[in-house]
Amino acid sequence: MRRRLSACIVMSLLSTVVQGADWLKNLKVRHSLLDQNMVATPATVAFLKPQQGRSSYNVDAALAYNFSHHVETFSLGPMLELHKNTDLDASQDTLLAGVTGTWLTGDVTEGSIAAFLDFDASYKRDRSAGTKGTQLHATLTPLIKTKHVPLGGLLKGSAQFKWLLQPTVGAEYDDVSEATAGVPTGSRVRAIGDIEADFYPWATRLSKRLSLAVKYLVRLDISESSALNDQRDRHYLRTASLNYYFSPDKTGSAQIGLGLDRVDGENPSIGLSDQEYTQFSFKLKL
Amino acid sequence: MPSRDVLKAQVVQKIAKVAERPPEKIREKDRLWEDLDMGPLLRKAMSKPYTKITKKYEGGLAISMDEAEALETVKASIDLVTRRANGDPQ
Repeated sequence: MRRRLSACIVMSLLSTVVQGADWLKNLKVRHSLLDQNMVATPATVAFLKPQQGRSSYNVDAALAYNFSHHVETFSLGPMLELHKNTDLDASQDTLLAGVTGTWLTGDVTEGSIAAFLDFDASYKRDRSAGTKGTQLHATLTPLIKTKHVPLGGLLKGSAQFKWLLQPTVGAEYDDVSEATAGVPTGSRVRAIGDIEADFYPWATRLSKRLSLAVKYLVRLDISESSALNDQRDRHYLRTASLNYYFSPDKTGSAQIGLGLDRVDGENPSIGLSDQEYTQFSFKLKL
Repeated sequence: MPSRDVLKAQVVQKIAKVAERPPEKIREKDRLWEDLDMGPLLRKAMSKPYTKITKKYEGGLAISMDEAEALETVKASIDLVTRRANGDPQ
């Protein structure tokens, strides 16, 4: 695996809501809709031009439009997701297009638990793997009210150090119906387990502008067609992201900052093959 | 037509409950994330309790999860609930 410390400019597109026209309010832009309940991960576009060698770029962006905006517990709409990276040893070029939805169950002000059920049904094209097919993805993200552990979406800790934990579990059906010559077709069922821990040192003093987000994502192949059986049933992705924004978050104004991201592992849901890299970047959040 | 003051008390009550603070310590200028520690998922989940308030009134409209997640302050939350409880879709 190649290890690289690169400097690049990252434009983080709108992470949750774009202010302005009505149709823009119903448009969601994220890094991915398959982990949309991780604490807002903005879409990223990066371009790298080294002094020697070819330039490269990467895009991780997902768009969704919510048609059911007059409903409090349900959202449904079309989605388009693109993950393309020409910079990695094993390049990534995955497109997902389909529908995405979220159902909220439980009332956080009344019970001790509420949960989001997210589902995506999409056409999946992975040019790096040379495959096309369908992916069905469903996850459950609970908000659990506890006294000391921050599993309920509310930060815990002291004024100087706050933290948040967010687990997600689910399942995924990945069917490859077409493939280039020599690439097997078939289907897989994967179990999904993700956990994110976010830490905010000097939270009060810095208004949470400094954060460390650590994520651990697991995909387990629990059933697969014999043609796809490659003896690699466990897929892990570990990421750590240290970000500092120079100004506090304000409606209608951009936040500019610096970030150090570490990625190690793979995520077959979005066609990210096994890799390991470190990236230092400027960040812009709208 | 419910007044803003009537709705403010109800909204603050809901926020105080999830933010684990007494209602009298919640101020309109408080920011849900920076001051009250409410993460994006918790703000999103507030669509349901807010809508329970708005639907108590005739003509009251729902508040979507995306709208609830985008709220940044207690004041913005009260204002949105007031508009929706009075049938204003904007």
